[in-house]
Amino acid sequence: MKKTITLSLIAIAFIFSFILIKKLKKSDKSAAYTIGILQTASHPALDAARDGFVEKLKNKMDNSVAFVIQNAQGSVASAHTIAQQFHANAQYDAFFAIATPAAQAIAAVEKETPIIIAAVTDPHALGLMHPTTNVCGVSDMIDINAEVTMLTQLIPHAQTVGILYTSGETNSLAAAALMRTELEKRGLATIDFAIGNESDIPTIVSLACRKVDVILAPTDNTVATSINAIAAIARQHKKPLIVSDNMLVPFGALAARGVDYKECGKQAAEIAYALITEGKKPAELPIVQPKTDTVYINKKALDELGLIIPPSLQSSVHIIE
Amino acid sequence: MIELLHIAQGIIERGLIFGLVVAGVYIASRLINFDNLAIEGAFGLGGALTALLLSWNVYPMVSLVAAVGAGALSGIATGLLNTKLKINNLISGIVVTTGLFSITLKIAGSNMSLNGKQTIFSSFSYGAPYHTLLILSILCFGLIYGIQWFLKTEVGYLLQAVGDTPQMLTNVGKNTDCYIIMGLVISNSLAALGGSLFVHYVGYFSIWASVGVLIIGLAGMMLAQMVHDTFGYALIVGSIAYQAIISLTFELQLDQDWNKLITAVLIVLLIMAKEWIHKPSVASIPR
Repeated sequence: MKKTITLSLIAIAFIFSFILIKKLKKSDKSAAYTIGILQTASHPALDAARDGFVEKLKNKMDNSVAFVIQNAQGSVASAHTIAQQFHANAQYDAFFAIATPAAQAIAAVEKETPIIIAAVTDPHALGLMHPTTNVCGVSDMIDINAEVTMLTQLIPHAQTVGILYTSGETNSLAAAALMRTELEKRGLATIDFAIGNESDIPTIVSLACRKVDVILAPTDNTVATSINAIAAIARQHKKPLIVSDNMLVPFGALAARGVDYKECGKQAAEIAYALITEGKKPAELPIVQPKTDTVYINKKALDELGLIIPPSLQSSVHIIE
Repeated sequence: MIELLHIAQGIIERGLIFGLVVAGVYIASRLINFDNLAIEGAFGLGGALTALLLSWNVYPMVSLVAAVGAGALSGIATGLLNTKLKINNLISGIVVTTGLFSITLKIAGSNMSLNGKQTIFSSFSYGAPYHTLLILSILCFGLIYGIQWFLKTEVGYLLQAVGDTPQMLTNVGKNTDCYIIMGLVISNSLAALGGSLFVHYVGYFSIWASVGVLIIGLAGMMLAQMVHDTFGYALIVGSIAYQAIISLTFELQLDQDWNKLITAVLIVLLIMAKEWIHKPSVASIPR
């Protein structure tokens, strides 16, 4: 008897708190538009995308927009729970999903309200981009063309480029192949240097330094973790090292022209603005490639190599001391 | 009000799916006294196999059966590691889950979208409202009923005895190892079926979907024991209660970093309520 009463009391308390929360949340709705943000996990890049989005959209819409930010903390089940709650609530005008699991979770539940995605590398492969889709947004694929252009402008004397990547990483393999084609298109010779594991690095990088004029690396986890060792060897041999992750430049790489996640968030905000205020349909908007205008350059490495920043890059350079 | 109904529907649907995982955790940890960490691996394996089969346009029911089969194999592997190689039960589970990660990756990659292929929910919908809820209820309650019935058979009784008094099995000339493996096969099969249903439900497979599944299972079991201590429908109720807690936490819309703590506090409160309910009965001391 006691058990039945307690259990029913708990159940009633639950339902009551749900209703109470709903009521309280409704009353503070003063903004004209509300956007639900679902972030896959706490991670510097994803946080940057979220902050860029919120900042930019607040600016553009003079604070007439409110955000409900939810974070699935890496759990797909939680992402789905949040997506379902977003869907059940009629107050939202659009959703912003950061990274693949969040994008998939919302797209699985919500079929009408526009969904803007960011930090998703290949939305087409996820089957999100069908003709009647309500999904649009920004991918985080690096712009290899722009990166190679930067390389040729910064190091005009380069003739042979060594591509340094890990043989076990699918993303690296794909990016390395694209780099090869792009470089060869511009008449540069390429040599591949595939890393098996971290202990190969000293041997392979020294070999690369003897054979090539420039070392180029895609976004690669092994390169990222052993950037100190790679940069030290490259400096010893006075060879420029170009990476694809902006965060690695302060560790001694010469330059990078990678994806800026904050910028991605801002681009997504532009899309959100077009959807909300200009009445555009998500299916009309293509997936936007991230802007990789900013070139990060390490001043110390630049001076050591005796290079100068050419006028063509001057305007887009971000110098790291 | 309609909004609450939608939320409740989601909670119950997820609660039913994870109810199978809760049942798997219960069978391993309460019946055969084996803390089964292979649950997470089996959940992922079931999901990956389902995604692969559905992408080949296989009849959706077949994918469920295949997931159960794969789960059973992972249970046998865990059991053999423990009984034959005498590896500690926690380690056996960890080893299996670790190994299955690679196998799962090979089966379906890190992410596989079903792209609107037939699932059990779309092929049996007949346009009925709440068909997802209905199909899940029939499946889950049916399974729990089946296992309940099985536990009352002779083999079922011996299975329960292996956790409590393994000596008894030896006395009647039964091999305890067989029964431990049998328990793990049921436990992992249930987890794999849960993983399979989750893929049917959300429409894609992600290698990260199995992260945290064990916690969902354990917490659900704890909450289930508020209602009833034995194997039964209470496990599904516990699972639904846990999903409700998670939903409530998200519904609060506080600073996201606090969410996990709020969930933890809510669970503690409910377990305190459980202790209070069970206080008079000194006889039932939880193991």
